[in-house]
Amino acid sequence: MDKVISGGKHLLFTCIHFFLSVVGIIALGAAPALFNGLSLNITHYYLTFGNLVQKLLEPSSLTYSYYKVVRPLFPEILIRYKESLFIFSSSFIVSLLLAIVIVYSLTRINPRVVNRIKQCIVYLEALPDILIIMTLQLSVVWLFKKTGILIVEVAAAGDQKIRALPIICLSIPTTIMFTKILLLRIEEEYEKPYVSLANSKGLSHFTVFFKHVLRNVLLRFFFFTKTNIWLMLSNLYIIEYFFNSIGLFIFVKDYNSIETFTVALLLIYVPIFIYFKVFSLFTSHLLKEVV
Amino acid sequence: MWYYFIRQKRAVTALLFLVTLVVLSIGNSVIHDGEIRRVSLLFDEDGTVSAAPFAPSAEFLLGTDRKGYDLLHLIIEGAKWTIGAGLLITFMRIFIGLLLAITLAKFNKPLFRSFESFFDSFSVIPMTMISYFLLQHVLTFSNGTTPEPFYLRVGFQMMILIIFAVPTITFYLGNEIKLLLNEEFVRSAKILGGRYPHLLRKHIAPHLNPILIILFLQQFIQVLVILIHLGVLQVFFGGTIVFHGGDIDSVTHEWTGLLGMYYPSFMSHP
Repeated sequence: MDKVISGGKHLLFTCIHFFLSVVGIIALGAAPALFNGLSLNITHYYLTFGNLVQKLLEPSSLTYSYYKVVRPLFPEILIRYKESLFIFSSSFIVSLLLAIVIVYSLTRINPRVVNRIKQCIVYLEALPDILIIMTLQLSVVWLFKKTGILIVEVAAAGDQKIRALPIICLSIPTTIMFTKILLLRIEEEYEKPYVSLANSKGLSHFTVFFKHVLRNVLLRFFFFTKTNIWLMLSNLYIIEYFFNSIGLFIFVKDYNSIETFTVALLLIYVPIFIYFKVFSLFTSHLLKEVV
Repeated sequence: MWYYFIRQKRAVTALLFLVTLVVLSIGNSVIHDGEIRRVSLLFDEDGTVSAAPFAPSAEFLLGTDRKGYDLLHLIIEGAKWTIGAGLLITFMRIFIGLLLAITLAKFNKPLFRSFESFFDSFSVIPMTMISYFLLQHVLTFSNGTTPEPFYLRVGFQMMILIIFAVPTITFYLGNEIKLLLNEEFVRSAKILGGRYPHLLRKHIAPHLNPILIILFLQQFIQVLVILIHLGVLQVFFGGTIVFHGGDIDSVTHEWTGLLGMYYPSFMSHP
């Protein structure tokens, strides 16, 4: 009985938090109305806010306009959303797998080399993603000029979809970031007594790493992954711009109105919110010691 | 700490390099009034004419662009804006965030959580998107029209870049302070009659300082990345001048803006 009550309470709080967050997003989406040129305009902001809420309650009334041609927002933005989501999730998975492989191989080699590599990672992290994008784009073009083989598309035109290069570009900085975090956490984890117990029992390095250490680390990694998501999203924005892909962010950039902006923000935010809530619901007992 | 810092030769060299650039840059505005050397035509000894852009040579260390502006000179002129603005924005972000965090950490848990979820969206949504959305109309203007005064534009841009990062920093620091407040030594200090300001100064600050330094560096990189993103999207620090025919120019010649400005020429003449 006690458990049910506390569960219900938890659910109630989650709902309240969700509601507050959505209100926060709408307030953020209406922010452009606050600035009229360079001066503040609070009444206009207030009106826009109300207007926005009204429109959002009735999704079919949402539109976007392109040179005075007004079209309904809804099926279109979802198509764009799918494209962005595809690039985002595939590069998330790719970088995570890569990072795990890198970290695994790092645990097998000489610690002095590992220190060297760590220093390199620090330098690589300071490298702006734009440089990576430009270098990749140019090297593909250069290779095409030299050999006549176009490995991947460099930019998209019209309705064409471009996926390979954006995913690679997004994966490189993300992989570096993931590697750094995982390496740090895994080194902490290796200090714990259960690892030496497993080693002394004669379990192979591979088993200890993948069956015991990685499991514990990944759980925490997923829980504290918010900053990573933030960084990836902001890289994705610029990547979509560079490759002219037809993702959500470019949609918002091209047809910028308050409604498109807010809907896009909601589309980005809601899945992340659900992810974190569900995750904390199922693993809260496991993470008690951490939080 | 200073002693430790000075012993690291690489860090000192980097710092000296940046300081020299900034000093040169400020000197440039004082002596040359911010003018940039421009040579569009050059005559050889035997009378042949060559036109800009010039490749790097003894006279132009880094070459010139298509309009004949000396690139090294441009970089020096831009240095003070990039470094100055970056540092100022970062400092203000953390300062405001810290003040708010200190206030918020005193609140009880439900209220704190409510605030946190209200501003939760800030921690997920890309800064570039918001700032581009807000700044684009204010900062871009075409050649010949009279825009808002310069200091207002810069102030507005800085304000936007500061405000939208403050919530994330506030809640990060707030959570840290809350954790520290629950430590045993803080509790015993409280029992002995320490008030909140005393606790902050004597017990929280020593633990918070390293976090603040790391946060400062992180935020500085983040500010520069956002400025670069905006530069690529052709919203330059201080304003973008759009000429007839789609040519663009930056008002402050700030580095990240230069990057965005010369990206097209980089792509067409690799």
